[in-house]
Amino acid sequence: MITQTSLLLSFIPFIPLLAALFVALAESSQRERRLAFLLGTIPSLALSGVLLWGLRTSHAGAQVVFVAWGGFLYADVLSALMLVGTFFLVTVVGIYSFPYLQHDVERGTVTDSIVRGYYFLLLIFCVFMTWTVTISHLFFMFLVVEVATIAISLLVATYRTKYALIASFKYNLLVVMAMLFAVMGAVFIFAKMTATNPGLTRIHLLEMGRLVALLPAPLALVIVACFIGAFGTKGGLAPFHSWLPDAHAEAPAPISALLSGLVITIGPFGFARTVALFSPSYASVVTLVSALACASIIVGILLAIVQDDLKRLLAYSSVSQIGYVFAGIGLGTYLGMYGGLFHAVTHLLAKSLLFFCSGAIIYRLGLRKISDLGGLSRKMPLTAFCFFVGALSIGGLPLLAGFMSKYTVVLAMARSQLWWAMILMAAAGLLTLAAMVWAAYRVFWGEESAKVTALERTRREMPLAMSVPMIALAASVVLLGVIPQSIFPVLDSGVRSLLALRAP
Amino acid sequence: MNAQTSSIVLGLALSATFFAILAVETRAFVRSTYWYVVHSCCLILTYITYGVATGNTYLYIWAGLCVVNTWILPFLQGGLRYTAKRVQQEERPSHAASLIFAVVGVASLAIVAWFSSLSLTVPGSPLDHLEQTVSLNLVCSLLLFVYGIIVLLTHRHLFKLALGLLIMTSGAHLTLVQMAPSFFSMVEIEILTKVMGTVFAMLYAARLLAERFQSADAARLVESDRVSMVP
Repeated sequence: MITQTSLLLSFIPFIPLLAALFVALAESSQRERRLAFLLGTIPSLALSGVLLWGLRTSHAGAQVVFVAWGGFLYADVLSALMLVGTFFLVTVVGIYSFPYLQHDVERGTVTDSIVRGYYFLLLIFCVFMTWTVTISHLFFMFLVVEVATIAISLLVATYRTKYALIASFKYNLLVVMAMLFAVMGAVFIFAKMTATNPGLTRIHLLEMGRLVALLPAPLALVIVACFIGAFGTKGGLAPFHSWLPDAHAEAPAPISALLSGLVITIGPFGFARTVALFSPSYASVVTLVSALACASIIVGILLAIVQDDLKRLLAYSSVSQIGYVFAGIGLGTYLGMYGGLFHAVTHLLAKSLLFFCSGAIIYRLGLRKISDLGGLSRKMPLTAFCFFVGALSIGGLPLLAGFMSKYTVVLAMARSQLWWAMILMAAAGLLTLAAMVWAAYRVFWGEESAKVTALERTRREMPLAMSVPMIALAASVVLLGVIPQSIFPVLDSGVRSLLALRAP
Repeated sequence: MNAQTSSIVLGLALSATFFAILAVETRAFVRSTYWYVVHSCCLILTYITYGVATGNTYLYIWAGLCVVNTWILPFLQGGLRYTAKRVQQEERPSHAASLIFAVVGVASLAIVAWFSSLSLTVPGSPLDHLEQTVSLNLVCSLLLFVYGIIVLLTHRHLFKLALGLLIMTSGAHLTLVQMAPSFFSMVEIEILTKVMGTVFAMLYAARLLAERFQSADAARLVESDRVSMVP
């Protein structure tokens, strides 16, 4: 593995940090705040792209990592990919939020100071998310995850309603509790390692693979259990998912998109950095993770089917879909990890799109219950089209992004002789398709409710700042479905960087 | 660390656990907060004792930072003075869990003490590999961690849930002191972040709920909506 010093790595988080400080401290108009937000995210997105490009092109054939601050920060292709995903989604969410929150201010559901806090917290989330994916110390990684959690929990409570506040509290409580388990896992590793290496003062992620291979099996399983509990909770994996539906349902729609598309992806990311390193040495870890992932896939979709709240339905579907990501990464094989990462990307695009669609419906009608909706396709054709694209992708229909990623995970299961998991995943895939199409049908083609009938069809069903992100996401879902090989080089490098972390 | 210091640390850790139970079981919030302060003081003394015994100067900084832990709850409680009149007491306390915990805790300590006296370790247990560090102190720290989880599982009042998280954190840090003595420098930052950030965010949400909906009991808050929906 070749390490190179990179200034970019230390520079990127300071751009959103400066923008956050401007939003919080300067006397600024709404337009200036929006501009500051865009200046905080778009250059960071560009620089993350440069970082990813640099990692992919330098020293072809050998694994390269960029380091900064004397090795305290490090980035491999996976980190860079996460950075690009973070800044892309936060930028899109921010743009979508401009008219969405303006509408809320006009309705009186939020105040101007809350809107200011909203953009500040989004930018702060970017800062800590950047450190989450680039910090090389295991313990500090847990720390920054906690701080990012605080920012997101306050964003969940944007509306300050009873249920929003309870959801925010619950999210904070469960994730921090889960991180304490991760800390305990790290302490066990550290205690074992200091017995043979008294000078050890930290656990470097690049050395984790070597360390875990030296652990005795029973202790390794205790540590794996701690990490699964921690990252499973953060990722919304059943049975640790209880925070997820409440937080998704009560947050503003753009934040729900961020939660489902990005925040829960921190779980599989941490999982890939820790638990996946145990898979080659401990076969029982693979079985345990596959069983948990399959349980999550089945439980999530069964709970989604019975929901009448559109956002809750999408949230439970995330519990199901994240199971595929965990299953693939937990498998520890090249194909499994590739499928897991691919599904994380396709899920990010499709689920964010679906939450944006639900946001568009709330924006125009103020309704979330599926039974209150129906026949919306004539009044909101663009939303209907985008929703179908997202729903069919999540359902795993061919020629859309979700198909290829799900297929890869299922294929990886079959290659690893986990037939029972493969059958369960395939069955759940069919259920997901049925659930998503049924929901889409009831919302857009079912019998029109009085509120929908009263809704006049306008030439533009929502502001441009809301429709452009939706169209961009829908186009990405179709593009990745038709040309899945377009993302292959990046994901391939990402998987190789993960495999390089293992013990030789 | 000699036997005498070890006994002092055990005494302090047991006191910390006892005051944690008192803090959870006291219905009135102001009094509950005071018990929590006493619990934190026991932790500070534990860190100082460890620091003196091992010569590890990081532990003094850690003890100093733990003072933040001691003051944060009363500070936030002070802000609640006018709402405290309305939500002064936990509405449905349950002592069963703490009682069971106390019995199981004492039994575990007795079993470990018996095993230690026979110089035995449990064969096949994951703790086999940590036999050099397994002691009554460690068991006591793990019990504190477990008690935090029990509080989170059995209570529905948001202030008590925050308290449960703080107790769990105390347990994790006490475990850390004993199992990973060179890990300290990073933990100081963690203490400060967790207490200042997370608990503040949680208590802020709880406070808003108490102010607006006259209760900080999650079960009651949800129930009140169900009742109001009945025609």
